[in-house]
Amino acid sequence: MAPSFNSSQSTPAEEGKCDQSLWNHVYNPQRLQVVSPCKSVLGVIESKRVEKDGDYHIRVKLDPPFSNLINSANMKNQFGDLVVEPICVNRVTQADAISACQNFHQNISIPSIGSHVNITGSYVLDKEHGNWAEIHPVTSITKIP
Amino acid sequence: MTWRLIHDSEIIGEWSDELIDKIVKELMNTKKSSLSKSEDSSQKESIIIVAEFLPDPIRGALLDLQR
Repeated sequence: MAPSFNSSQSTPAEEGKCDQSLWNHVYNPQRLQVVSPCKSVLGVIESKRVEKDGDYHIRVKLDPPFSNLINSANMKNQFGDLVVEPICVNRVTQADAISACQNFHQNISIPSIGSHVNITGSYVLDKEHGNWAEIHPVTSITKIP
Repeated sequence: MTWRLIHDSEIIGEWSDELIDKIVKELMNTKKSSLSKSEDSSQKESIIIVAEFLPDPIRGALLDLQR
C-alpha cells in the first residue's frame, strides 16, 4: 500500500525535483523552518518586488487544491497569498545577506503578473515574519496554460 | 493590468490591479487614483507609479515596510 502524505509534506514525485544546494545561498537559514524540503504548487502571480537581500518577494494566489498551504499570517499580512522567494536574483544591498550571494546568481526568470504558474521549492515558515508560509528557496517557476 | 513601481529608473515592484485594490482598501482614506497621475488608466496594460512621489503609507504598504 502506498504511503499516505499530509498535503504539506513532500510526495514521492516531488522528492528530487528540488535543488537543495540553493540552501547554501540562503542567508541566516535558521530564520526559516522547513516543513517540506520539496513541494510543487500551482497558482497565479499577483505581485513581485525586489528585496534588499537580493531575493524576489512574489505573492501567489494558490489554486484551490493548494489553499491549505497558507496560514493565518499569510491571511493577515500577505492578502491570503503564498510568499515565493527566489534567492540571489537581484543586487544585494543588505549587509548580512551579501556573503550568501557572493559569486552566485540564481538564473531564474519570473513570469509576468497574472501568469498561472507551477512553482517548485522548499516549503517553509518564516519565523521572522509571524510564521507565514513560503516557498523559499525556489528551484523553478514555469508558466502553465 | 499591471502596476509598476519605479525607483531610480528601475522597476522595483509589480502588482496586479486586483492586489492594488486590496492594498488601497486596507489604507483608510486612500484612493487608487492617487497612486498615479494617469488620467485614463482603463485602457492601459500597465501603469507606472513613482516611489518618490508616493505618500509614506502607500509606499510602506507596497514595499511591506511596516510588516
